[in-house]
Amino acid sequence: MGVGELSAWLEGTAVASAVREGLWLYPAIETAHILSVAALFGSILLLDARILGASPRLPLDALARHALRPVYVALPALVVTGALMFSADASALVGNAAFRAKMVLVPLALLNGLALEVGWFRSLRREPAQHIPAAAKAFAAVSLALWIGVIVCGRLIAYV
Amino acid sequence: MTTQMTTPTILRTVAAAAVAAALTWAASAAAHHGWSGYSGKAERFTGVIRAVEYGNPHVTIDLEDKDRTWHVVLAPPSRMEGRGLPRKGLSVGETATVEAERHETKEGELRAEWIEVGGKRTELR
Repeated sequence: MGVGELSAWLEGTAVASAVREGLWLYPAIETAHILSVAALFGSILLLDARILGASPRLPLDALARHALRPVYVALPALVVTGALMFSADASALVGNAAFRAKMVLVPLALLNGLALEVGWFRSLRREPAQHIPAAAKAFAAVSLALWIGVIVCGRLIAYV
Repeated sequence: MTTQMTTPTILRTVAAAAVAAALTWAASAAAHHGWSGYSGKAERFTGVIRAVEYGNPHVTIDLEDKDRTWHVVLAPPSRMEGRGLPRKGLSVGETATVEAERHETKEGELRAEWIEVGGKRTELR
């Protein structure tokens, strides 16, 4: 089954037509998607800024535990609400350049975050006074750039 | 004399700038503006409705006039219902007129300012 057939099938499901046809369901899902990305980006921004050198006296471990908590709710919510909106208009979206770019940037941003966590963050959290290596800072900067790119592409879906 | 601005002065400047920005925005909202990605020139198209997709994110119709069949993007269903053009108000085979702009790159796609069907005009913006 190709991408075209898959998206046509998805669009024909009962869930997709409920999203498409409900008067206020789609805007409600859209709102939840935006709330979730606001929470996700806010958390990531606070943490990446700390890694990049802002507020150096804030304990990294305490900050991470506080700031990353919303991500565990926001990330699944983004995937679910995004999938629901995608299903409603799937065959048009697979051909949308901004949507395609977003679907490349999201996994890159997640992998980048995972690499930062596994590569440096775990050890940095254990030793609060440790100097943050330049490579970790580079990953934090790339993280911000990728997530901004995700948001820009998300918004551009309606305009290309 | 010191040229340093006091806090109340800064606050007043910021407040004045915010008011000016809000007024500019309100004025531009009242003026006509095109849809992003569309020509910016509104034209009228009259034809027969060949297909209706009454769904999110936008209601669309296929409208066949003397030249071709246009794919016309209308508005979200919630707005269409609010403006008095529910699903049953658009049927295949009916004649409709739209004032719309052509998409700059997608051949045959229009974005409608308003649609007139059954003698009733519905604003879509």
